[in-house]
Amino acid sequence: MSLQSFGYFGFLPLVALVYLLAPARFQTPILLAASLFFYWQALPSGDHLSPLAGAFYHFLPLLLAAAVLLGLWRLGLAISRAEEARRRRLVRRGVVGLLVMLALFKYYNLSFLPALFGPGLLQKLPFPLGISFFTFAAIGYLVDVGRGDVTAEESPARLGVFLFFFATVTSGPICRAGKVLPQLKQEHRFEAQRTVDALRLFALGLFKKAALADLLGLFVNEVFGNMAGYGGGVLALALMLYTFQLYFDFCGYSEMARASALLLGIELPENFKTPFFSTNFSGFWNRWHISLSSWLQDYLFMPLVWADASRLPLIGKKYERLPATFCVFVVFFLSGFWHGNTLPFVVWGLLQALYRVGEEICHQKLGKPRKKGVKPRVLWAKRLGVFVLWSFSMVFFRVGSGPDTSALGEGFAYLAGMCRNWSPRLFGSQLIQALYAGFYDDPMMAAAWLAFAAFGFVLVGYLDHQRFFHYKDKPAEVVLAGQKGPVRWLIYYGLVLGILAGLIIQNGGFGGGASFAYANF
Amino acid sequence: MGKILKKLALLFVPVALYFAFFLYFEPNNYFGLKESAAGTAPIGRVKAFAQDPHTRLILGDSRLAHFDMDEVAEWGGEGWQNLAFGGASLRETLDLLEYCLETQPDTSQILLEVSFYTLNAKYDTDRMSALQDTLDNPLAYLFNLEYNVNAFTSFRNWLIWQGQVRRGETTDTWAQAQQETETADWPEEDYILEDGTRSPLHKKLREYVQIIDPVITGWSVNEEQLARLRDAMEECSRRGIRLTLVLPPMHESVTELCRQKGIEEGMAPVLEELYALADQLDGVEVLDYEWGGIPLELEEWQYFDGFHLDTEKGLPLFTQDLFSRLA
Repeated sequence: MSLQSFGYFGFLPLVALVYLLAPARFQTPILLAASLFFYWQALPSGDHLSPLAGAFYHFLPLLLAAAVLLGLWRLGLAISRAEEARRRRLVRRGVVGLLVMLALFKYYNLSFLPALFGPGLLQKLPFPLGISFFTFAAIGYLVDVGRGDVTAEESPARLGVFLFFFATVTSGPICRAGKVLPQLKQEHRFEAQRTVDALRLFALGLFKKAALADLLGLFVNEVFGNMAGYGGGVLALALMLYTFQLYFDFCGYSEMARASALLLGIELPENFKTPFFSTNFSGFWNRWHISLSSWLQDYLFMPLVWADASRLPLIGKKYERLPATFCVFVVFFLSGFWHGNTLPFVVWGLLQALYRVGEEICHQKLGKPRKKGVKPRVLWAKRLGVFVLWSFSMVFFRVGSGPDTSALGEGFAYLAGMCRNWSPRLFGSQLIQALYAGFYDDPMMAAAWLAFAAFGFVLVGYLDHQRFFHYKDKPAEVVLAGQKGPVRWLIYYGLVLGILAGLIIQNGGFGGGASFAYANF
Repeated sequence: MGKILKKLALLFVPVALYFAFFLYFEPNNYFGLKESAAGTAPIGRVKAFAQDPHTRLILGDSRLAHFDMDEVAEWGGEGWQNLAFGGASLRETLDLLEYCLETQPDTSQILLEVSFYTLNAKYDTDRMSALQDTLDNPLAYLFNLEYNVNAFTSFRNWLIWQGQVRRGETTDTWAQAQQETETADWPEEDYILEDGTRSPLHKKLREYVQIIDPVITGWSVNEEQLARLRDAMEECSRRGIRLTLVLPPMHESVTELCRQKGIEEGMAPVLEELYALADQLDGVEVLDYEWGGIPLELEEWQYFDGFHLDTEKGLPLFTQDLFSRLA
């Protein structure tokens, strides 16, 4: 069951109904039960193994989740009762333990271990759903308890909902214990305005995901899957569309997750704030996957920056603290690892690190850019520059997300292909070829795809533009609510019909079975 | 809450209107709202069977899919139901046979197509499980792109038919207009070759050989499905079901192509084996029109193409001959 499946359209209202009507003391157990059910639905099948091995394979992610929950609960309480020195030791142990677990499941093939022990058992183990997300949430919880920012949670049920909430477990946002746990202690009842906001947000998210992202994916998959057959123009277009596909996919999912929680009375952090209007990369990362970038800032960058570097060999002789630029580089380089366990993701992380560090160095040499009095065309040129550089790095994100885990060469080949065969006539004929032969062999369907994609871009572009320029980055549901009546209803009908068309177009025959791009993290 | 539900209902009015349009124009009669399905799509035929399973069944591909069921009843008696559909592989035909036997335990007679074409190991499509998912799940049907496109195509054809009716070009009812027919009158120019000489075959027959040449090159027997076919023959005999394996007629131009590719030679032992097994089993027979076991005198103009008989000029003869034997 995914957030865009028919099963979820029945699951969510049912859970909301039971939850909002239940007595307060039952609300957390209801959420936990719903989350466990959701997680159980996503358990992998062990049918290809013997009955005993198959059962183990099937239930291992659930067992792991239970172990993480119980371990985290007990450790959190132990940390809160310990004195300072032991507290730090316990936090370190917990963080290391969680990172080792994540590394074993996710990064085994990048380590030296396969060379010593062969592919082995670990590669055959099922990949637990949302392991990257709940591991980071767990680490954040331990550190916050260690710092005294958060009280250790006494209820394992509440902690379980925090870690494995059905709306966020697949692809985040990465939640903070200090924001979510207090909400889980409150009683939640039906509120009309909140419900309307949640429905608006869910419709917008579903439109971005089902009607736009998955549809763009049909074209993108055709071009990336047959890159040798296309010239630079089509490759560049596909790359640009992939950039948007990923944005719509992830942003759409995040909005559906937030909407699901909002329906239940729980506020989750926003994950995207019109990132393509950023004029520099530091601003971009304050708007793209915000929950991850803020997590990295609070739990990696700040500890690095404040670490006592004087005890480090070599560096310690020159620096009391690690240079901020170096810390920025490390954070973004490691963010590549978080996203994927293949070499293309390492390159992607390296590029993000270079972009940020390059920007910092420019600011140091040339001074920080002015915030006011800048000509609009200069701002738009900067936005275009950020978009182009970001799209460039997306080649590695795309090839790294594919089934071939050693696709680095493919990424470079794609970029090389983008530099060749630029002719308008070739572009036109190859574009038609990709639309016709790739997935639609009907001219009317190809025209429908183009019209629909254009409609989607206009609608989402309008809302994002409104959000950035007129609503000062207020949440998307506020922007929708703020539109004038006729415009608002026009948008509603556009969203609903767009979702209908999107769900139909991707079911049965042409690229059906779409999934969340971030669901494998 | 009431206000929210009212507004949601208003919001979904266009969605409801769209689905009403879909239900009216979808040609497969999935929800049983019409008299019958138009066309020969598998979903329509299998759904009709699921809603009202008959005991005498026709299974195969497009070569058996266009029978006029009135003529079938005239020559073969009542109670026949046609589940043949275009493009069916032998695997799919046998999967459908298993589904039919599970759904209709009182099945008394089956006409099942076998052909060198469907016995080709290279032609082994497997869509029965996807079809069954759609059969069991109305939402999967409603949101399926292919069936929605079918509905729009049906709507477009309806508009064309409306125009023809207004102009007096046709007196067919809408149901008649939707019937799939493969028929043509071949004018003299269709027999004239590029060099100006006259071919004995019309254009479509000549072209068909070129179309199927690459498809049947490298032909070999699909042993897995042949084994399943043998099992099916034994199973039907055991259950007391009269099973007729029919190899439909094909034009001599295709036979000659098969000879050149060694297919006739490859089919000989297969046919021998099927005949031998049928002789041992009660209620099982093989009717071979494909390789001349049963000669059917047909002119080239009675063929629509190398595999398919003209539904008006050739198919009635085949229907009469075949179903007279099955009555």
